[in-house]
Amino acid sequence: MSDFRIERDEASAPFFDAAREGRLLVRRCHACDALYPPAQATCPAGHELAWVGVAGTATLVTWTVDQGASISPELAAADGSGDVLGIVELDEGLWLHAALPGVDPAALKAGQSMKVEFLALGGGEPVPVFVPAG
Amino acid sequence: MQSGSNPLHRAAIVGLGITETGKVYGPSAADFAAEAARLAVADAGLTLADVDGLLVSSGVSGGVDIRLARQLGLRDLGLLSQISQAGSTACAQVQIAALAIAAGLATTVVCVHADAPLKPAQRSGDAYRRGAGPVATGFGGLALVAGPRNPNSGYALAARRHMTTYGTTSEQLGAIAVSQRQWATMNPRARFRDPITIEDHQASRMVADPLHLLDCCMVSNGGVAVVVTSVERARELAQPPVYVWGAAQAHPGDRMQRDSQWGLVSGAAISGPKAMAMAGVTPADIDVREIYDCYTYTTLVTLEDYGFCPKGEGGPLAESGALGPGGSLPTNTGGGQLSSFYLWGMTPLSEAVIQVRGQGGERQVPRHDVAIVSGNGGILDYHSTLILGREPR
Repeated sequence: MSDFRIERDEASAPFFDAAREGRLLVRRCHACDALYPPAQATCPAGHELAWVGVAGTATLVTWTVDQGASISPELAAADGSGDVLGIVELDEGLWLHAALPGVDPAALKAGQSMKVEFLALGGGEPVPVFVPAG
Repeated sequence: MQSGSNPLHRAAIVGLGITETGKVYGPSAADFAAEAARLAVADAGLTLADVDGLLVSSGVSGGVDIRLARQLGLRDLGLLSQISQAGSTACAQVQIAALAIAAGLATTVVCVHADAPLKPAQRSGDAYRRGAGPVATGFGGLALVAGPRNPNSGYALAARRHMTTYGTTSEQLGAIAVSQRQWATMNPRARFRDPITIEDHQASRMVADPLHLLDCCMVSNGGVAVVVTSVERARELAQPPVYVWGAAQAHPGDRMQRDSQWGLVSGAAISGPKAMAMAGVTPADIDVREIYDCYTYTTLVTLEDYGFCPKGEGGPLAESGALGPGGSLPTNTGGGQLSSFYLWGMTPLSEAVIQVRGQGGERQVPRHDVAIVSGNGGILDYHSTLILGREPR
């Protein structure tokens, strides 16, 4: 089985520091006030982006069950059919691609409420994943 | 638009070369490219000495670049470039060739794409799969976990969104695979020629739910080239010219945030109407549709975006049988990338040339005055459109 894990680098250190405390960070442009995914360092206009915390609540936009090779058993669907990968819309409006571990793919509905959890896959840095809320 | 008023209308496709395609091992991608170029030039009734422009496109295996000019012994080129736009490259190559010809940069341009990702002891799918090592670093690690990890899951996300928004079903996507396979049974070049049913589609293994194996294109080795020249020269050559009526690109750059239409609407919604306006046609005027079909869903969303049915009604359209042989909207008449061969945008482009010329044999559509060709790349990130006609515009 996989012992996949994520290690931090300098650019991702603030993100993983927050993740270890259970907080999800994204990026915000001071000039445009728009939100961007964690990996983006500058906005299209070239402005530096700042880290900003979000609530970690979202709705489900779309999802797939990827039957390709799983990168970690901790990411598998409840029925073991594959890794469920989705797009969620944060309450703040930004979309994020995210793994949806342990869910029952047949029970998912577009627009349903989701919440962030953090998984330290293989004992590495914690990764934000989303699961049904409530 | 007035006849001849657009510079793009001064060009025509006069040569087509297709190598053996599929699980063909031995030649490199550059070898396939060279062979395709030679075949296309010969098909046009020209020689390599007549070529003064070369636009190359490389697939996932790499290895096709501007050095192809030297491999072919081309001299005194007025145009030489590698065009890199993923699945939307082929239509863009023809568009750029036509502009260069109109501007006097070149008279006779070979546009070629070749790829050799398949190796004898490897599954086809591995050619496009990103390997995951045991340790990933930083944001790259996040992306690997979150996906999409390959085109299959990327297009599955788009297809699912269409299903939950408009009620499109897997069986309706299957109807596209079935129609295209019906065409492929009449294409000697097609790799998969046995008819399939919706039941076969449903029973095929799930690749990335909701996409089954039969929703996905194959992977092929091979090369395709076309020769583009001026309309004046086109008339003197060996084949019936296929005239460029319209050519557009649209790369939407969707922002992934609230109210995004990502997955539901592609660049085709901009590129298609633009190309059709340039050609002076509407969807009702188009006889043949050659649509980039990396997945059944790509065909569906592109047909909607081009206006062959209202948004959200691609599923019922596919289910009606309109896209298959004898249907009202013949689409992907060679079997497409799902059933024939997969050489990116050259798959639909080559079939459009065959159909407009009237050389489709058993699968020739009766009316073939105007064809639309699409190119699509990334996960619906890049789009290009050509409108081709049997008469000059």
